[in-house]
Amino acid sequence: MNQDKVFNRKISSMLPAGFLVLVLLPLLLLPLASVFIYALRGGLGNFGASLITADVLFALRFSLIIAFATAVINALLGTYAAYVLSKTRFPGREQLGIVLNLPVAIPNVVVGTSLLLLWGPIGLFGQMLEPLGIQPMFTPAAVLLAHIFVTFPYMLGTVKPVLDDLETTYEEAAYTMGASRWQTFLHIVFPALKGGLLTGSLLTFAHSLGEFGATVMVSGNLRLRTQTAPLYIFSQFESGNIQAANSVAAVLAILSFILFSLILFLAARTGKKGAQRGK
Amino acid sequence: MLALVLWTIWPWLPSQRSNRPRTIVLYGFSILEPVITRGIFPAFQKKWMAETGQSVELISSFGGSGTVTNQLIMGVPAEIAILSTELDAQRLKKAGVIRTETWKELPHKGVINRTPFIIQVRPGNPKKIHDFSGLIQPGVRIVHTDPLTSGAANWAIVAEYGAAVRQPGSGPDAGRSMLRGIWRNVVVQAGSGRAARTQFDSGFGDALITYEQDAIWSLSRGSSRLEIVYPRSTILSEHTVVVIDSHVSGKEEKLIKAFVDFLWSEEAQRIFVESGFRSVDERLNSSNPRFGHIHDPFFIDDFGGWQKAKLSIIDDIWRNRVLKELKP
Amino acid sequence: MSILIEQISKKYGNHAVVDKVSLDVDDGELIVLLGSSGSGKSTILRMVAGLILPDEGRILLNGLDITLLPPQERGLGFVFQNYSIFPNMTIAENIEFGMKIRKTPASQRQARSAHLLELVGLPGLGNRYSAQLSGGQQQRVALARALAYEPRLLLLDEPLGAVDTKTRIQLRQSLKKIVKEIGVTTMMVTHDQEEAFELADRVAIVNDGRIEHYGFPSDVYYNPATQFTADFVGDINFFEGHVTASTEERCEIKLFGHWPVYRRGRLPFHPGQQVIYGVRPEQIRISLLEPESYENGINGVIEKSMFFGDVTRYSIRLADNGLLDVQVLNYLFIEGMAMPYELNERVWLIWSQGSGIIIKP
Repeated sequence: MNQDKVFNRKISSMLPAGFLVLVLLPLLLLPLASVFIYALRGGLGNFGASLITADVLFALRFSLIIAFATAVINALLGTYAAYVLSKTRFPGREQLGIVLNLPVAIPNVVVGTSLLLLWGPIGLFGQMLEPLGIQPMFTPAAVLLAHIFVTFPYMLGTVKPVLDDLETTYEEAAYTMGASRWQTFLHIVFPALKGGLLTGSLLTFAHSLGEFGATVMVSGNLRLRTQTAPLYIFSQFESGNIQAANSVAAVLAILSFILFSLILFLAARTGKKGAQRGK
Repeated sequence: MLALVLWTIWPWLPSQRSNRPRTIVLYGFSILEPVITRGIFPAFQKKWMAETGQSVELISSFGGSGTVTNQLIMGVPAEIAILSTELDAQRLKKAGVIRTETWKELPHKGVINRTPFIIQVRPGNPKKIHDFSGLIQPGVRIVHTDPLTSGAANWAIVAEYGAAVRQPGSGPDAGRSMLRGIWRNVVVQAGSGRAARTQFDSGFGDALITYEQDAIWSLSRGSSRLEIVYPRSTILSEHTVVVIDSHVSGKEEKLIKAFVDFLWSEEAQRIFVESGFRSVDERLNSSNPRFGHIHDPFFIDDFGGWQKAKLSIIDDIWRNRVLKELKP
Repeated sequence: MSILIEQISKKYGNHAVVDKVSLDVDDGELIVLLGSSGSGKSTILRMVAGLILPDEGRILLNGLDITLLPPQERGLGFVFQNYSIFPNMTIAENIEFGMKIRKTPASQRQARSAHLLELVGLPGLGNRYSAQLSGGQQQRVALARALAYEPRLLLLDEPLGAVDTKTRIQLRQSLKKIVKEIGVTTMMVTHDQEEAFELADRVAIVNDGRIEHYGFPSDVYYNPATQFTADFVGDINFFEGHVTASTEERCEIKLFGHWPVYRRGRLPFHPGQQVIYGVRPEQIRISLLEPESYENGINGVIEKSMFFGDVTRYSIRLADNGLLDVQVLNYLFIEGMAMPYELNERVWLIWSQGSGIIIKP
């Protein structure tokens, strides 16, 4: 009797989690699993073979380089923007903050289109650059530009809260001890930002690695020149090469999974540290 | 981690830099991808290497013919474009991407190969479709391409219209009612011929109107047991090569010209035939036993060329009348 | 004179947070700015440090105008209320930071930080991080850090505001000892008057952006210049009155229009002048007997009594309907030196003619 009750309670305590898994299974887990199933359907040999074609190697390398460059550039730009927004006071500061966060709200395709309309041969800047023989769109630089644009808010989002929490007295203390603004940033602000910077960079990297909507607009989707891994997947899928598409998709999924675990691990660690410091 | 970084930047390391090959940038319409990247280009690469000792790399992108044309107008750095219809070539000229009708100076007015429009049906032809007229029966679900982005769609519409008006004893109204009948049954409009193929292969629809080449290529990969239905009369699509002269630097002119000339060489034409395209050189076409017989083939020139056909058939009859009649 | 502040003001919008404040601090002196929160005392300190620039006025340090000098070039030590110990550095690195910026050799830096840690009573803790220290320890580190590069002036912003009462009292004593031992000129801000009186050589009472009174602690307490000061430090009973006679020896004031009290001494008041007369509760004794002729006295009925541990505080309703607070040390009752009083008992309140405070309203 008593044991029955305990058992029932055990069951009922597991119900919400069970329900969650049941809902998530078809939504998240099964589609992901099918990517791997399709990728491996032709055997490991086929999986490997479809990965070492020149197109795939280029697409993966290109994606990684773009993601790395995007992360580095946005780490600098995002930190600067976060610093300005958090530590200086000027009219229109709130509005600027909203504008800088816009890229998360606008569909990536629209970002791509707007870049094309500005920098493309028919665009305002594009027409100014054309006589100089510079054509920024449909080049690796265009892809980089789109990725910087699209992922900009992630850096801001992870660095600015840290800066907001960092009391000005830390900087003021450094000033009174004789440290210049730059020395203060280097010795005081930057060490505090490290965690946020790393998380933000990884987040940016992961998003850049998977970016599709804006890239497809501005890259021209040229294999061996501007084709990123997601574009390759899409192109192959569209031409019916489902196995090739899924092989690369599986690689991307694994990379993203590793990155995401790293982010979670870092977030948990910095969270703990913060709690410790908060006494 | 370090290994991943090294692997990533390997091709860009200084030691690798010196032997970067010369490149050709080509944009093509969707069904060309396998034959160009796996057939034509490797053959050209070999030939060029033998003749000059230089290696050359193909930078390419494939999509619906309309999409490719739009990209070209937006300014992608293509040196050569192979479009599904001359119509798209004319749009390039109108947009100023090319200054003159460069394709008309090429052999066969720029046409590199042809392929008839056919109907593909499910195994055993359960809906008993034997001609375009079979598509208008109620309950047939057709996968079609979208004329906005796909050259194949424009060809298909002219094929459907032409097949009807060329029936002995019928007038222009027959074409319109054929289009109305078919388009009433269209359930999917895909962005390119290849996208329509993927949709149909994954189980959508009872019939797909597509290039014969596309059907043969798909069957030759053994992935589908679909059947091909040859209409009594249908159009042979003709695919146009356009050299984007403004994008070809003086240094590359020779390479590009060699590649373009190669496209009409017997070697290249045979590769096209092997992969299901019909050669512009009729003598070669007997070598592919998969080509089916068409009782009454016709060409776009039979309707006065694309410029006229676009206005009278696509715009006037299909868009302005058929589509409006179909709207509830 | 170590520091001289002349007529500095700071406005935010239309509101003057600091309004024409002047101060001077002698070499080696420890002065305290005492005021409630929002009085502008911290702003004055921050202007001295260069963290805020004044809108007008000048600040001179050893005769040098530093009004517009950036904080980096002032060479001052600053201790913040939250200590702001850099969490990414060890305690020793924190203390050595200012010297490192000044490119002091490492061996000299280490010797100095070890010496300072000993001075503030934290020897051997140099390798720890701030998260491992208690609030009181962090305060000592902040002090050591501010003293590391031998600042010309030490500024302390509520340095003891964030620790508990017990620790605060201990820290107060060691703070004063350290500062006096080094002999550094010090300006400190606090809202705690006990702290101010204990530490200060001179106290400045800050109210609404102005200095109400600047002087020795005893002066501030017994001879406040303004009613605000008298009220702000300690407790006080105020009465309105007018001067009826003023001679070389004493001043006569009538409370409630008719009740005379006297204040000894030669005072700058003239007959007929309206004044505020104040007397602190601990200066008054309660008696059943009438006052002597050399004393002040007024009678009333005990209305309320409150026990505070060390003292009992009585509120007495006066005949003229005023209310007066009196404090009696409880040990007097225990020793039998005074009798506890009953509610509604009629008593005399008596204080010395030397202890009243007269202020211009």
